[in-house]
Amino acid sequence: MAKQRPEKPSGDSAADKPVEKPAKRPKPPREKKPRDPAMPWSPAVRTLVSLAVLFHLAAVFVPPWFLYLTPMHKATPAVPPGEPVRDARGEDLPPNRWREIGVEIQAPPLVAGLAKFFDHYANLLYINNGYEFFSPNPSVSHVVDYEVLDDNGQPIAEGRLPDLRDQWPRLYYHRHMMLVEQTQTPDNPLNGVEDTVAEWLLAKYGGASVRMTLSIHHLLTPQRVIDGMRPDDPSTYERVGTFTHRKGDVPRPNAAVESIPAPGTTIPGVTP
Amino acid sequence: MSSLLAAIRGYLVDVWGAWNQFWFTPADPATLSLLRLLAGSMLFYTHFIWSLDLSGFIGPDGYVPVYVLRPPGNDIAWSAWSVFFWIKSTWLLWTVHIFALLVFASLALGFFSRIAALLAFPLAVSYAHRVTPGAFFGLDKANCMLAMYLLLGPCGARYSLDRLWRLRRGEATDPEPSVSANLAIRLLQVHLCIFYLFSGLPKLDGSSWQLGTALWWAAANNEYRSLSLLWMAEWPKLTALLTHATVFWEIFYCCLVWNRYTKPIVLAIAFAVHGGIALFMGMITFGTAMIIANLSFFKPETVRKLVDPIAARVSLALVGKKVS
Repeated sequence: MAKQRPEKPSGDSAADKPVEKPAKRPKPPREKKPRDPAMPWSPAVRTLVSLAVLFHLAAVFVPPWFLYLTPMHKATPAVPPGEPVRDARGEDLPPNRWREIGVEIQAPPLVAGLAKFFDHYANLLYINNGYEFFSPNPSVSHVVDYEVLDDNGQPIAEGRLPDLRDQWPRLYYHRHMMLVEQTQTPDNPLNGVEDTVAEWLLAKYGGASVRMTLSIHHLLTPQRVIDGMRPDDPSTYERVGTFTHRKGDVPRPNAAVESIPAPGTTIPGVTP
Repeated sequence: MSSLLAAIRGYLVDVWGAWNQFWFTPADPATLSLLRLLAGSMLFYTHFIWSLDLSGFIGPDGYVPVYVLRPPGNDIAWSAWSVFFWIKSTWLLWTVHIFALLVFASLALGFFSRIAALLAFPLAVSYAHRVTPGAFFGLDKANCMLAMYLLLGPCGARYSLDRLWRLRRGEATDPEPSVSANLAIRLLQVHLCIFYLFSGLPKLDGSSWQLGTALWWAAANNEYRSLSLLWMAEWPKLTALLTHATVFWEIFYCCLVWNRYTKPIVLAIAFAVHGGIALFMGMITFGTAMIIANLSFFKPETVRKLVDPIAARVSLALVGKKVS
């Protein structure tokens, strides 16, 4: 028996119609994987955030690493190892004068490159700093005594930076202490801005000039303390420079620093 | 060869798994919320103190004028920015300052916490850049570090006015564990490890840290001292022990703080060191800020056990319900 063909539907319109394909079996709906409650973020999001985390942590790590490797006390001249850096008279030059004879301070190439790469990001987030507290060694403090004078040279105000009696609470005192330290540290870019501090004191008290005296407050050895010497004994203060600033004077770089004694200078009973 | 590849693949899968578990596991926002409360209070107090001589320290013509930090034609990076570099008038200076204080107070109280956290960080950085160099110190670094990570997570989920407000409206559900809370805390923890590592390493270059006398010289500094440590003059070996312990603790903090057996010891030393700095060296704010940062290593369960009873009393008093 011959197989019967299904009858074609009669009529022209039916002939024009394409033959209907058997309907595709509908795919079962893809089951959504239930999100792991222990790991709610998708792998893609975690990957992206992981990259951001790595970038950020590198930016946190690099600036203190760079600063740790490049402090002034560890400065290495760009000359063959062991070769001294001397001036024309044959005297050894300190690092801050190497450039005078065309010798640069060496920077670690990889870390310096990384620091440059992260520079703006680190600046924006204030992670562009080191964490070198009391290092390489705890050091002496500086104090500035000031006297504001009127047009006739008569004192109208006087004080000390920092001074616990005037500056309270403790954080306010500490800010003044940092102000003095950061204007007196040789490596610090603010070194020598005594004139601007003086100008502000003049604006504050309304004087015509201000006389400022910088002193180093040296630290006592344990033996001196055992011997009964007080840490605020007058002999522990070493006056290193006095200068007078008149209203409107052009700032002079390193005005007071000029009179600081050479490194290593000691005063009796005190360890610098 | 294929077994080697399989081993490498297995290793990488394990690493990825551990990495995910470390960074992306949801955590109760209790620790982050406690940090918000404490760090926000510290930010408020720190910046309130500028009010005592705002023009002198932050104003355009103060002790260190803006033109000294940003001289015309300088090559200083634009990114070392501060809103105070552009402020010329005293009234605007005070307006911004009062706004900043309100933001820090909001952050501390947990009032519109997420917005406050978003604003607090750039404001804190603005102050810090204005006084760097000038009058900055470790406190500013610690404050900015704390503020930076608070903005990443739901820092007002607990111990906040936001939470009390939600309760008042009848939303009494407990805050959900959050990935971003964990992420924020983890970033702060790792940042803290880097902080201590680079605080410890430079000390190895110092003769006094090598000899074990550094703590004496720090204690003998009259300008720092708040409580006397001069008795240490008669205890050189104790001084040396504390000096060496400080260096070892700082350098190895980044390793030992992750181990469950050494973590309590490392954190106890952190509280002792920073507590000592606060009490004896007059840096109460810096010592406290660092202790707050170390609290990031407290598990949320521990924080809840310690803080929830206090928070419950506060909420009972304010909204008549006992919740944390």
